[in-house]
Amino acid sequence: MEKVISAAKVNNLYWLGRYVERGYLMLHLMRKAYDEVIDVPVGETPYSEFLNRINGYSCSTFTSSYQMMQQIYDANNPTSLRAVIERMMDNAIVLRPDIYSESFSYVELCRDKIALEAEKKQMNIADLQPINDWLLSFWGSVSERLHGPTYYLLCIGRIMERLDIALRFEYKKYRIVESWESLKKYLQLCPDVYDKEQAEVIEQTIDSDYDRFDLIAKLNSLIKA
Amino acid sequence: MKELLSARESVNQWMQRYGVRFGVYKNGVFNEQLFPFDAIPRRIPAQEWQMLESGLIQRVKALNAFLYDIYHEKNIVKDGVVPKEFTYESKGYMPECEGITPAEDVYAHIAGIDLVQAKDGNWLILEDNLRIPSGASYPMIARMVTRKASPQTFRDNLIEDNRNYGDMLREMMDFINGGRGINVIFTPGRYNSAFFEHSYLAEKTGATLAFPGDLVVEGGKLYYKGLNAKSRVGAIYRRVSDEYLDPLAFEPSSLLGIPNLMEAYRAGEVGVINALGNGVADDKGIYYFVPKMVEYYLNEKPILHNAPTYLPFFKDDFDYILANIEKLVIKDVAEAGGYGVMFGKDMSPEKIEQVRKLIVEDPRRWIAQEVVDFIDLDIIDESGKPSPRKCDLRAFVITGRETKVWKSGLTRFSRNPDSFVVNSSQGGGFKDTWVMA
Repeated sequence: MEKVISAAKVNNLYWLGRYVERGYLMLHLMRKAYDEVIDVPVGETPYSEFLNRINGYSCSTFTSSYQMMQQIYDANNPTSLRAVIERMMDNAIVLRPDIYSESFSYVELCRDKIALEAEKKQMNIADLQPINDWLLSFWGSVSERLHGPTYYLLCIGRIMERLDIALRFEYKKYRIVESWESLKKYLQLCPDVYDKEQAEVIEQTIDSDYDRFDLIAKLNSLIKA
Repeated sequence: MKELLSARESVNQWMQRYGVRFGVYKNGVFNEQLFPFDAIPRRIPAQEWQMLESGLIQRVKALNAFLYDIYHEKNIVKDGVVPKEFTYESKGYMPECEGITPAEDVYAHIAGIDLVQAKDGNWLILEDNLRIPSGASYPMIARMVTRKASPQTFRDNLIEDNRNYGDMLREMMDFINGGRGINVIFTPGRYNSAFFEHSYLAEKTGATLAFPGDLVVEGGKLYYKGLNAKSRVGAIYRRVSDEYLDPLAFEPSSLLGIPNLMEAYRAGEVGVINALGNGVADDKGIYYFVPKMVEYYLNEKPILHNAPTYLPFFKDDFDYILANIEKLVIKDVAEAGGYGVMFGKDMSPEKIEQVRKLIVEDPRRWIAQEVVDFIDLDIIDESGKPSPRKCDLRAFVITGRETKVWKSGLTRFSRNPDSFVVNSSQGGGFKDTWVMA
């Protein structure tokens, strides 16, 4: 028998999906920015550019890769990777019975790892690769164990975050359309959680020559929970 | 066993990745910490276990009979076996439960009975926990992890499997539920010290983990609020204390509680696990009378015995306690979790005088026990060497259609070599408990 899911749980599943995807893509994009820092003159800061895009406003200026690494680990900075992993845990910890301990353990591993790395004097982004691996393992674990709304809601969060970041980083339109088509399939499986009129509006917006921030705002008001 | 001990690091890594933690509030700040696990198990031979099992079943049956009697006919008080001062004046007695008969007449669905093994090999009961005893999840997950880390150990030793605790709970919950609706485990939330256990037991029983605000009583029935529909709840395994469970019946400021739950419970529309009002039977003062309950209700001799206990309420005991405080352990009946426990041997003359005064002022509030010289079990200490520590055992007894003892238990040990206090809230660790097949 399918379990009844409370509104709070819908919210937790959706945001867990979003934060896991955000953590994964942040690391991927940070690594890219970190690589670009190597080749640019001092004063130019691809990592600041990354942060400005992911946050949607100008928030930081860095002049060294050391500052970048410090930002990644700063638990008090809501834009840091560490803060994203903490929010991931906030949602995962209350969902243990729904996602099972095996899937939960990958979030726990990420949290322990970033806390451990933050204590090191020598910070190296390469040392964070296990976090990428565990986040992918998380998806493998939930796809193996979960079914029904619990799984669909995680996927809705995941694809929503992917769309959000793709728009912020100006991915090509076909990538946006592909993700939207994928999101629609999961939304149809959870008809109670989204605003159908808003979905129509988004559909029309994507078909047009959209403003990406306007589209992000529309996407972010799609889910009701 | 050697293989298991050499896999200690791996075991601890597994425990960490599964988030085997408990929360502690210190100075108002919540901190989660790993529950220290020692890989050397407590081993209980099959024959010894059979005796323990029989004694535990007997004790819990008597306690269930006592609870029914106290909230109905009160024969045990009328017959003078238990003084009324230890029932109706107990903090755990709830007049609101008078006349209520819980589903299937079961009060103590999950009993956590604390025992120690004295150096002469005898097992003694230290405490009965009939409200919301916790701790079963830890040996459950420890077994799962140690089997992963050291499979050979479990091939070489014939050990009763303890991974069925979730099934035992589910079977009991289904019985109490009686097909009325879903089973839920009701937690105060993630900042409760035992939240790991709440969530892990929900996972292992398949029950829905419900948080404050998720449950509502309508038309005298309990419901779980889904996104667009409500689901009837047939049994609620609540991990919230009686006084916070229903703000309309008990503590009005409780934000955790479910308004009108008591009404649904009274009408027999929902099974509450454990029943409300059980505190009257696990009061440290009433503990003294449990062997008498066995004889009174079951007409049997108790198989398991209490640690030698004195009640200052009785004149002879009062005199004995005041004359011998230095060699006794004094317990405040209102405290739990290892708090309010004072060893006479560790007290200064001023402190002894102070305790003496407290006993004189309110004899009902205290019990005194002989210090039981219970056996030490080895743990692997910080230096990696075996080192003896005091250990107790919490056995879990489940009552649904029948009363069964889980073939395992939580063995807790003191971290400090000189301490008798094993509670996790006071820094204690735990071991798996192997019942040998």
